Amino acid sequence: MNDKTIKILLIEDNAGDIRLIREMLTEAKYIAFDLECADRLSTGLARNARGDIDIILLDLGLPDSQGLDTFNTINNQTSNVPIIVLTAFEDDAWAIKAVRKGAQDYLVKGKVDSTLLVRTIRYALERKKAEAELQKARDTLEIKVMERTEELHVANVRLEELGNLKSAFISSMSHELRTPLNSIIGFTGIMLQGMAGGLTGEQRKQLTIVKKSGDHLLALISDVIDVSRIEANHIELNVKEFDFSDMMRDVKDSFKVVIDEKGLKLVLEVPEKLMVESDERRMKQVIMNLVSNAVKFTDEGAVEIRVVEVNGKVEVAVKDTGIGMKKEDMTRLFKQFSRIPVEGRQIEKGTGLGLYVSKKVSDLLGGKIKVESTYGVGSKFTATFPLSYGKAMR
Amino acid sequence: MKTILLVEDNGSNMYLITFMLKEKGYNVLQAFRGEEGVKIALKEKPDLILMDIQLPDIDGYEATKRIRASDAPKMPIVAITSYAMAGDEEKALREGFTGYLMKPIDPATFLQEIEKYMSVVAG
Repeated sequence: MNDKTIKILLIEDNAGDIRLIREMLTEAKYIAFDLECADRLSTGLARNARGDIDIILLDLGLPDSQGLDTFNTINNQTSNVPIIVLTAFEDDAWAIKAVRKGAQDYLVKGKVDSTLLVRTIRYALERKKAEAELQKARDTLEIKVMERTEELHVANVRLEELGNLKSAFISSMSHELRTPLNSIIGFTGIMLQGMAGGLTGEQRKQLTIVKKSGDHLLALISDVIDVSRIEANHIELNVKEFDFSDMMRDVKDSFKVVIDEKGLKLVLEVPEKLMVESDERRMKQVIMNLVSNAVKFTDEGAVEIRVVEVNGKVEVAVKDTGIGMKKEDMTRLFKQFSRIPVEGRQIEKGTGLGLYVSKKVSDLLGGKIKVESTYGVGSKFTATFPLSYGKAMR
Repeated sequence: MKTILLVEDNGSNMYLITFMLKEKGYNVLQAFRGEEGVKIALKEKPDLILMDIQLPDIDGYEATKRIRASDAPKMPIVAITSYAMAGDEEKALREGFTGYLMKPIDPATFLQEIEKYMSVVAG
């Protein structure tokens, strides 16, 4: 600050105090001051209004204004110029209030020397400068926050539109992809049933491959569409009351053919009746996937399904005597497209999405899937769902 | 001989389902559009209607609504579609369909389902 003369406006009616301050400022080394005086608030205001004042030293008791009003009046006129209040008493309530209202400091007359006065002025100027910069930063920040909020809002609206578009696209693709598959699966089905005439052994074998590939493709499409829907949060649940035991008997029936083909045993232990309030189709999807995996990875022995009701939940345990899993492979189970390679075994048909979808769907239903497995001995997957989806989600 | 009206815009599916039904001895009427389906339904009064939901002119819901509003409102109409969305079945039943069949069609179970709906009508 050496390079610049500091312009001080002293608003003070006591000639002795004015002289004292002038002397103290003259004593100061290294800093040049230019002191102007006003003996009334009105003349002080008038001088300050003309500008270029760096700092104001203000006596609160003036002929035309007393106490805090004096400070308020000049402070309202000039929020950029730092003000130091001069007072006669150490515990001047007005002076303290003035500091609370924004005065930089107060000095008690008679207890000030040159060093203190100069230091107070310098600190006041520095503080004011810092305050101004802080205020500027705050204002800029506020504008930036407002701009960013607006940008975020626009982005959100756009995202929502995209989400809806994606959902419509998925729905339409689902229909478009399945329609030709219906023909492939349907006609091969007809031919395999012998409805279109007799088949040679080789024709039957090849058509069976076509049919299986068609079924596989259909499963892939369904899984991919499910994944897209799950990730776009566009899965709609259809919650109603149904007999879980009935559903489980359906599940068992649908595996009859493949179980017989592989020469396995499929055991189902289920209560006679077990009413559950949830999305039946989705629950069935999860359990079908667990059973299908168990059957897929079991070459001999049995797949056992046990259904029990515990603490307002239905627990479905699917246990197999299959190939089992190593511990290090189990963490990858529920990830997308994670296929665990098994030595000496052809990679199983599948999408690599089954357990990922199952996990997501079961989350949606308020359920959990737990895995226990011993390599070479077998695996046990346990799915637990709330008996009432509505109550569990409330 | 029982008559079944098939309303379906996809040629392959039309052929597939017609083939199966004829094989089972049903008399099959075909409509490729919704309005055409309504017209044939009201004129021929088939024993069962199999109706696709997505059709080029009026959709299966609208066609069903028109038949329900006619002088033959009790005709059994089964939705047959690959719209496998949650709540679609409920929607179909709410909108006046008698039943709901999902594509792809498995010849073995499809014919059983058809017989089930026919026997419901007969009974």
